[in-house]
Amino acid sequence: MWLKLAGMLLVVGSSSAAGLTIAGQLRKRPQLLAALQNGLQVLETQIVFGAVPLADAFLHCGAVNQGAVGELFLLAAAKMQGNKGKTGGEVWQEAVEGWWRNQPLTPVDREVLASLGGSLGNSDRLDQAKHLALIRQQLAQQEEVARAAARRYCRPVSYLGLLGGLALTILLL
Amino acid sequence: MRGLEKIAAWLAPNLAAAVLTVPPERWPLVEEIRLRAGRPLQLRLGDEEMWPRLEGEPVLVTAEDIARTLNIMTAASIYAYEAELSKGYLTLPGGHRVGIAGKVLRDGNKIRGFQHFGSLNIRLARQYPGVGEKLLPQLLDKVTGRLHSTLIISPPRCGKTTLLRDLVRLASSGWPAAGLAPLTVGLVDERSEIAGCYQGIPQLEVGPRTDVLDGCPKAEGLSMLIRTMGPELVVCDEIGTAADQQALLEAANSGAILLASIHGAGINDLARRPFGRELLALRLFQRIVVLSRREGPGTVEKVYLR
Repeated sequence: MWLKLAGMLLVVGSSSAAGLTIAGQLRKRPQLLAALQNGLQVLETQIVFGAVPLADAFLHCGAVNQGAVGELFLLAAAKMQGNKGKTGGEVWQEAVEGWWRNQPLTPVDREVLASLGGSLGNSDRLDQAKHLALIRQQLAQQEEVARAAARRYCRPVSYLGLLGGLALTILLL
Repeated sequence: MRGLEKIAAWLAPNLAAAVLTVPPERWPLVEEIRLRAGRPLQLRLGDEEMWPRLEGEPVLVTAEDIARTLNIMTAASIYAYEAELSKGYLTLPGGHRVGIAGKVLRDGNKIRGFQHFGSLNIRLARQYPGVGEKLLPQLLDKVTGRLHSTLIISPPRCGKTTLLRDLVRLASSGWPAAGLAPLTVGLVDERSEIAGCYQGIPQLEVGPRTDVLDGCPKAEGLSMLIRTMGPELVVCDEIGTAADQQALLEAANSGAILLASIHGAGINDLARRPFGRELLALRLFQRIVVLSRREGPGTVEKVYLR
């Protein structure tokens, strides 16, 4: 009897925790997408107004941006160190690849972010500004989508976790 | 790493391998490495051309190779070199100059940069400290030991810049053997060829009393130096516009000694061009040195006293 009860609690607990985690991710995604836009804005300032070489610009962005966005830039900065012959874009794509899996982002978000790699560092400042602005615009669109998703699914998902757990225990009884 | 290996490190890996097929004993002769998209890699060793081969095949340079090479040269940040690129060159640490050609990006009448890079010409900076020593006594006043204002006339690739650099070094350090007291030197290095500055620091030997305005137009640079740096000797390379002439005139009137170079085959050739005729008529220079390649780069054909 006690064993059964403990089992039930475990099932209900873990499924509602899963629900809450997914809900948390839904909430965090638009925040992260907004922070990424800010981060790229800093990068744009470094490139367009400072003409700062990419390695230093990444380091600066890593220092200025908090949390996950800062981590992304620091990862890119580390990959620029001792980089022989890779383009800035390739380094950026590698950094995004190594970073995004632990973040509440979708493959589409990753795609947008990585697409910056096609142009980063390989043209003059005017051109760089255009590319960066385009990526920020696309991230803003993704943020909009993410906000809508969070509004719509946050609550249902957390309830679904709890209720799903309860349903499962009833079935198992 | 030494010599050519250092240069090769700036190239896309396959091109680097091809360049290093030059036997090490011939490395000091390499003057130019030319990359042209869609065509074979070319080297120039003295007066001789060389088309390196890998596994018996000429090495075809691709647009991708050129992009890779530029990527290495600019530390993956083309935008940080916009000013240089819009003038068609880059300077590498060590003072090596990379000339660029390709599809130009225009902004009205101004060149903004390159849309596509078609050719790179890497000109290896070589220092020959001492090339100026033989010439220097002829440029000094016999009595006071003061350096005379000097114009160097030379066709391209005759060692004009190398000679100019060594004269700057000698003037800046002073040369007691010939009775030359050290001078404060103001150098306007419009194309970063004389001092080979990388991020503002001279990479080539230009002496301890030399201030360099790197990448600065000559006319503005000359008056800027005169106003702010108090030079006793002002130096610039490849003069050729009315504005340059005006700035030299002002510099001379402010009491500075002039040292400049100009493209030309000789003094008569110079006098045939309107600009050259005016320049000579101003009598800004007391010594005119003509160079050729007759006995290798830096052959002094004649020194005119005026």
